[in-house]
Amino acid sequence: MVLTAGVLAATPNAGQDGKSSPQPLTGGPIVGAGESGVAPAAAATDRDQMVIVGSSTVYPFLRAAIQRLQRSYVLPAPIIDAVGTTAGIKLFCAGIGAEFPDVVAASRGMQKSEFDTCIEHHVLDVIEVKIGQTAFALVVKKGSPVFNMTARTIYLALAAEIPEDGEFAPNPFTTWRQIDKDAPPLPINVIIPTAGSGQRTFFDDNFMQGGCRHVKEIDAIFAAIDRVPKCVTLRKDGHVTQINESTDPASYGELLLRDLEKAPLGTIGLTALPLYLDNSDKLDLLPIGGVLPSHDTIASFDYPMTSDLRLYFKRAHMRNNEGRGVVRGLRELMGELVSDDATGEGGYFEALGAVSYDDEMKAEIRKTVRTLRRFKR
Amino acid sequence: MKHSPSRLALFVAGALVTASAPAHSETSDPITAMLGAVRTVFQSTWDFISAPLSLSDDTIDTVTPATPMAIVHSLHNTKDSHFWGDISDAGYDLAEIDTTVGIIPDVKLVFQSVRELSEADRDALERKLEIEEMRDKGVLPKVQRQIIRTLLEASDVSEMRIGKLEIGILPLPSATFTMEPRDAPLTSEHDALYRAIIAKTRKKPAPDPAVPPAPTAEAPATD
Repeated sequence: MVLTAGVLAATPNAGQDGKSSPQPLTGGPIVGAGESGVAPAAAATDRDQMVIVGSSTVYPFLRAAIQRLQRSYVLPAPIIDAVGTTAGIKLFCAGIGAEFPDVVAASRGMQKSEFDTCIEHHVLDVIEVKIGQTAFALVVKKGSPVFNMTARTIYLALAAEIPEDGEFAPNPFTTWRQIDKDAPPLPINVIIPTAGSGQRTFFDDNFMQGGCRHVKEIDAIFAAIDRVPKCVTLRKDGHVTQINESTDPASYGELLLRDLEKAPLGTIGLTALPLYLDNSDKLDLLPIGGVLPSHDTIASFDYPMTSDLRLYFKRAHMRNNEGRGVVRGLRELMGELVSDDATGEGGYFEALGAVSYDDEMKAEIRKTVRTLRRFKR
Repeated sequence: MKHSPSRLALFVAGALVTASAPAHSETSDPITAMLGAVRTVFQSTWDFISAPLSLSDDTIDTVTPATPMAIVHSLHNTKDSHFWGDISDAGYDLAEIDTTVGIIPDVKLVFQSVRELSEADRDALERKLEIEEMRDKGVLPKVQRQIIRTLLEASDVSEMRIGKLEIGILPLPSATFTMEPRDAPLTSEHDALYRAIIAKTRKKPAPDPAVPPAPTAEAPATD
């Protein structure tokens, strides 16, 4: 799914008001650090447009930042390909040069194995920019009973095999009540994205692996390579629906809403919190561990299913002090992403459903951007 | 991270001085003041090490370590400290408790690696530590988190792993990490076990599906 982020001003080196020099973004020395305020000749960069791949969850935040950026800077519209976090990181780590993406948007952190791939392909100077926290929520359509969920309930409901008397047996559960006596006697049905999406990775890591952690039979398996499949392999008897957003032009959110609408009562969907906020007239949230996701419960870490929204930038694609590089605008975008307007309390990222960090954390992130500190894993 | 003799000697001296000091000394002369200071340090050290175990801080307990069972029970009481839960999340489980009763008591908890961490396990634990760090900024939790972080960092080394972790409770808090190669040669016990399994497998070859099983008994004659 290739998206073009808005229309950018066409006049080089002129703001929307037609003045000759770009307006500095908030954040002082971060913005445009090391880059000349005068746009270099087009020939100084290998490519005109930034190429951004990755998570559709991060896309609304990215789009808003780019729209803000275009008020001050003149840049060709970036090419945004929302292929999902996992696929995006794979593309990002494939190499350095104009044919490879400049930025990957991720709804989860880059894993060590992924970073190792980056290093293998000489993508060494990666800069991680966290823009806020989001929550992943379990939702039901309006009118469906709301009941408490836990990661353990999800694992027991969806795993292909579950422990039984020291052995593993095919999952026998068909209703939520069979797992949790306080849950309604409705059939188990869960809608999740297919593998490759950041949301799905989050689901596998936090709901499925989180739910099977410290189960006696699972803990007895020493090797992670043998243990993880026991946790994340889903049952195939019709209780799980996987939505493949890459084969459908509609986003996962739209597809989830459509499927939930048609689904029987008790059907649960996984989504990032912003989708719920946009559709709270159609959806109800399920508490996880007795806690509903909200600005306060996310900021206080009481709600367990939270994740940092991040973007990874390639230092090697940024222009050097002579204005030469793969593409221009990367540092300006980083500056906008960490500006007060975006990530401050009441900033436009909060309006989109992200929860901002405390001042200490924000200062740390700005320092990372200012000094182009390398990401380490 | 073994105790150095000089450190131990210093502690012994400190403990003896403290033990001989009156319980409620007046700070009228420099020697008594010094003894009082040593007592305070000793008490602080004891508080520091006993807090995660919720042990009693009576004076007698400083020379008589808690029974192993008391320690085991305290491990399950995670209300006051996340430390033991974090150790479990890091893939370690309690293997032994070594205690020595004496003027200088000695208590060591030995943890062994029981579970290799997946990337999700590591991420979850790192996030848990970050959250704990924001919520609890005390010195003791910080030291405890550092022990867990060391375990996590060591688990990231592809050739080596921490096979054994010794948490020293007394006489001084300490953590000893024993690193071993991931593909270390088998010990004699493990080798014997391995050979026994192999031999047993060879004795009972898997049935070939192409060959029909031999009849175990003659079919009963039928009319």
